[in-house]
Amino acid sequence: MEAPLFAATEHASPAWVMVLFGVIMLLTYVGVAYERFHKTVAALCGAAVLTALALGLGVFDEYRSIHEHLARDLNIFGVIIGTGILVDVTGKSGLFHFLSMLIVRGTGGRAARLYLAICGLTFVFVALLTIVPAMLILSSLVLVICRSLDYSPKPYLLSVALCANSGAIVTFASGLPNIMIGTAAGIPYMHFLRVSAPYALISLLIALVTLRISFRRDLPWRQSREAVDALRARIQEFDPWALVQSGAVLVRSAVILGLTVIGFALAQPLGVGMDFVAMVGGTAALLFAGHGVEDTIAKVNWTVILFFTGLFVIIACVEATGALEVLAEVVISLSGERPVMLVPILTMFSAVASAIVDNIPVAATLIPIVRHIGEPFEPLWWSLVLGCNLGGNATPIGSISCVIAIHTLHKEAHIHVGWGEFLKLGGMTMLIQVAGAIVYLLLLYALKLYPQL
Amino acid sequence: MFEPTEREVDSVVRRSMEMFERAKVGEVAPVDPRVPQKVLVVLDGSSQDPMSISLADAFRRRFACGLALLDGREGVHDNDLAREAAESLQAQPLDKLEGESYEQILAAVELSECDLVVVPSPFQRELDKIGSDSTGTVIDVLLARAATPLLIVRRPYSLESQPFERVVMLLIGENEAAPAAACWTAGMVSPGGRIGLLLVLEDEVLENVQSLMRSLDPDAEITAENLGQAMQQSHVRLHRALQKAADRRGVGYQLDVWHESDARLAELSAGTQHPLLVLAHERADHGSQGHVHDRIRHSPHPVFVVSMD
Repeated sequence: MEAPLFAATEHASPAWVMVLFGVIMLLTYVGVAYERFHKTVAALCGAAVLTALALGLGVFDEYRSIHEHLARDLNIFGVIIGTGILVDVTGKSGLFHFLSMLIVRGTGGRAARLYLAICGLTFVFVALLTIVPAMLILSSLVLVICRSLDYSPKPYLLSVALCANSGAIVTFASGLPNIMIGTAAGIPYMHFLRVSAPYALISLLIALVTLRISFRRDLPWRQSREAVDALRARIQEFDPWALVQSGAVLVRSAVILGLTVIGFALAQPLGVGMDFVAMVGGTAALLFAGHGVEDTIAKVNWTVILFFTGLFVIIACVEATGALEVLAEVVISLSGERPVMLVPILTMFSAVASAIVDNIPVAATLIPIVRHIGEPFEPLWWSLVLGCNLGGNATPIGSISCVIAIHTLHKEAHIHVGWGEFLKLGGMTMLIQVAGAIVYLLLLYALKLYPQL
Repeated sequence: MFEPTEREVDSVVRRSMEMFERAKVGEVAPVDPRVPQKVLVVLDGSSQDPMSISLADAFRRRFACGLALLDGREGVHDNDLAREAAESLQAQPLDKLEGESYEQILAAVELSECDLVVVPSPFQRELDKIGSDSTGTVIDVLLARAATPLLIVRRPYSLESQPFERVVMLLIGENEAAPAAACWTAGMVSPGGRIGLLLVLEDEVLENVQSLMRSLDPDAEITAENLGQAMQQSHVRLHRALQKAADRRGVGYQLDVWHESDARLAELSAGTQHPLLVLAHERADHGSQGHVHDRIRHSPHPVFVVSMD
C-alpha cells in the first residue's frame, strides 16, 4: 500500500483561521518552552483561547465537540495515573536503590565495569520507570559512588543522560511520548518490544561506543591490580541490604511491577486497555505494597494531567480547522508522494524539533498529521517514537535526562558542561542514532517486518 | 514526576544520595539473640497475676528457663500466693522478704540470679483505677535501679498460643541501651514471627532541631521527612544488625520511621494482636527516661524495658 490516502476535509476552515490557530498553537509551545512560564499554565491558557475562538469562529458547532475529542485520550490519563502510583510505591520500597547498589557493588568499583553497569542500569530503569524517576535515582548513585571511589562523575552522569533516551523507547510505558503515540495509533505493548526495543538496544550500543570514545581520557579504563584491590575494598563498604526497610514490601513491589509488565504485554489478547492494566497495577501497589495510601495518591502527577488536558484541547481545536491535514499534505508533497521518503523526513523532523522543544508537544502535534497522511501508518508511528525520544540527546535542553544530569553535575560536583561541549557529545550521538533509526525503520519496511496494527 | 523544578531535583537527588550513603555501613555483625535463662516472676495479688503467670509458663516452655516466684506485696506475711503459682509452673517460690515492695524485688533479683523480671504495673493496684496517670513507685524505682531487663505487665489480656509473634523495638534517638535491647528483641520473637525496628520522631525533637538550625542558618529547611532520614542514617548499623539476625532466625523484619502523631503509633497498642514493645532505657538520658515512662503509662499491653546506666 504505497499510495497516500490524503483527502481534504469537507469542513476545512478558511486559511486565515488555520493560520491564526497555528500561530496560537506555536505561541503556546513557545510558552511551554519558556522556562519562566509554567508549561502547564501555558498549555491551559492556549487551550482556553483556542476553545473560545473555535466556538466563536464556528470551528466547533457545539461545545460538546471538545469533550468528544478529549474522550479519545482519556485512556492516557489512566496510564499516567496507574503507572505513576506504581512507580511511586515501588520507588519507596527501595527496590531500585537496592538493585542498583547490588549491581554496582558487583562491578568491584572498576571504572570500565562501572561504566557498563551504570549505562545498563539506566537503560533498564528508564524502560521500567520512565526517565525522571530513573534519572533521579541514578544521578544520586553516580555522585555517591564517584565520591567514594574518586572518579569524576561527569563521564558517568552524561552517559546516564544519553543512555536514558535509549531506555525511553523500549516499551509502551517507558515515556509519555510513547504512551501518546501508542495510544493514538493503537500500538499494543508487544509491538514495542518487537519494533522499538531492538532499536533501543542498538541505540544504546551506539551511545556506549560514542561515549567511550569521547571519555577515553576522562576515566582510568585500565587499572592496575593494586588499584583494583583497593577499589574492591572501598566498594565492599556498601551493603545494599542496608537500604531495604522491609524485605516483604520489596518482594511484593517487585512482583506487582513484574505482573503489571506482563499485564501490559497481555492487554491486547485479553481485550483490555493499557489504562486498565496500569490502574490495576497501581491499585495492587496501594493495596499490598503501599506505605501511605493518601501520601501516594497525593503524589499522582496532576501537573502532567492538566498539561495533557490543555495540550489535547489545543490539538483538537487546530485539527478541527483542517490545518493539520494541510500540513500532512505538505509533508506528503515534500516526500514526492513516496512513502519511503516520509520515514526520514518524519524521523529527522521529530528528532530536531524534540532537541529544541519538549518532545510531548512535538508528539502531540505530529500524531494527527501522521493520522492524516494515511497508509502506510506503521513505519511513520515508529518514526515518531524513535525521533521524539532520541532527538533529546542533541542539546542540553533536549531531554529532561540531559537537563537533570547537567544541573546535578553543576550543583553537586561544581562541574559546568557548556552547550558546545554537550553538542559535540550529544549531537554526534543523536545524529548517528537517528541515522541508524532511519535505516532500521526502512529495513523493516522493505522486509515487511512491521506487525499489523 | 513531570519536568521537576530545579528545587525538586535538588531535594530528591539529595535524599536519594543520603539513602545510598546509608548503604555504606561496612561489615556489620548480626545481633546476638538473647533469651532468658532464669526469670523472676513478681506477683502482687492483682488481676494482672494470671497474665504474669501465663507469660512465665510460656517462657519456661519455649526457652526451658528457670523460674522463681516472689510475692512482692507489702504487709503480707504468708507466702501462699507464690507457693500455689510455683506448683503449677514447676517453679521455685522465693521466701517472703522484708521491706518495701521494690526493696523485696531488688533483693530477689540478686538472690535468684535471674536475668529477666516479670512485674506488674501499677504494683498492687488495679490498672483500671490508676489508668495512664502513673506507672507506680515500684516501677519507677526498678527502672532506676534494677540491673536486669523488666517485662512490665500492664493488664490481663488473652495470651496467644505464640506470644511475641511480633516484637517491635521502639527508639526515639541515640540510646546506649539500644544494642542490648536489640539482642532481646531478636531473642524474644517467636519462630516465624516478625521483628520491627520503629524509629519515632518526636514533635519536641523536630521543633528543637528546627529552631536550632534556623538560628544557625535562616534558610535551613528541616522537615519531618529529612529528620526521619537522618534518624535512619544514624541507626543504620543497628538496622542492618537486626536485619541480619532476623534472616538467621528466619523471621520477618521491617524498619519504619514514624512521626509521633502518626495514627499507626496509637494502633500499636490497640486490639489483641499488638506487638511486644521493647524499649531501650538510658538512665542518664532524660529524654529516654521520659519516653520509657510515657510508653509504659500509655500501654495497655506488656512492655519490655532494657535499661543501662
